[in-house]
Amino acid sequence: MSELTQRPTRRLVLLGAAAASLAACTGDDPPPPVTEGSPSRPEPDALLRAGVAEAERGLLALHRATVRTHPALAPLLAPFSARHRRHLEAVEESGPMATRPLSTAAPSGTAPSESANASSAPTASASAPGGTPVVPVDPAQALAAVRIAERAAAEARVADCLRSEDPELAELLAAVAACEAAHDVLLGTAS
Amino acid sequence: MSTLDALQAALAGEHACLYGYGLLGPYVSAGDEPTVRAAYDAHRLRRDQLAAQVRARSADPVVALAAYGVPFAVVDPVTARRLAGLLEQRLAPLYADLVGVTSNPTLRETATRALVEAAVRGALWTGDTTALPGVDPVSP
Repeated sequence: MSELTQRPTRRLVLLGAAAASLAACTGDDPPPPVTEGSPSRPEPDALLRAGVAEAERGLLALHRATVRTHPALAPLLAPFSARHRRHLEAVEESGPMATRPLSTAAPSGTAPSESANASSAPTASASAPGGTPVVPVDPAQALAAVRIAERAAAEARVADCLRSEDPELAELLAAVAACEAAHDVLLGTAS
Repeated sequence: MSTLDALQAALAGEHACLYGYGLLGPYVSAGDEPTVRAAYDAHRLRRDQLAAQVRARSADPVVALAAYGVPFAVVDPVTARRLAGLLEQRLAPLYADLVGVTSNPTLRETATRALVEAAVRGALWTGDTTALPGVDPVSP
């Protein structure tokens, strides 16, 4: 613990002089400025947020179902679930959200006009037709299914990031993608 | 921050990363060697991409320093991994900044993928991740 409390001042000197540029943009600096102050945020970003929120709820549903079937996996998955909850909060707080989602991770084959009762469905890779996540009975396979869903989510968030009109939303979605890609490798080393 | 500033900052970060990996390389375990080599190659590629982007904006790419200070001595595989993790965690915000300032779709994709790679390597080295790599503060 003392190690952790000592370091914050020292980490500013990480990599010495050149780290001026490293350190200058890390840590406590505020996020980059919003490049435009347009009062009417375009609709596509509101749809994007709704789609991402839906995908994050889907991942959380998959985690919950996995833990319900395999309670022994609860301690392992808890921090992963917590990070998805933070993703959900961050996306919800990032701006207006449409009521009808439009996401890369939306269940494929779901026409927008009939998406009303599919809106709580988790990501396509881990959902049954009824919207309930399917959890393999073998714990290793259950973990592998979570891993596959994380990987798919990471790719979907990259695609969402590239579609975002607001650069700040793009930055948030890039960070979410980065976390979900990290989840993939962390679950790989855990299994 | 302008796109050019963000590009130069990321480039300076890649220079520092390459120096760091060069420093820690000899200390990693045999099992980690391929990962270090792959990371080094990936960073070199990103460095060259960023330098090209800077030049495309009629600016001179920032150059690497002869030496960089490191926050702790690298003496064994454990400290080598720790530095590698820190390098990636420190690099991630520079790419997040770039994603947040550029309006160029290709550059946004490059920066996003570089951020994802940094987070993945950071997770490999540290066994952990933050919820928002590059946005969350680094806690070494």
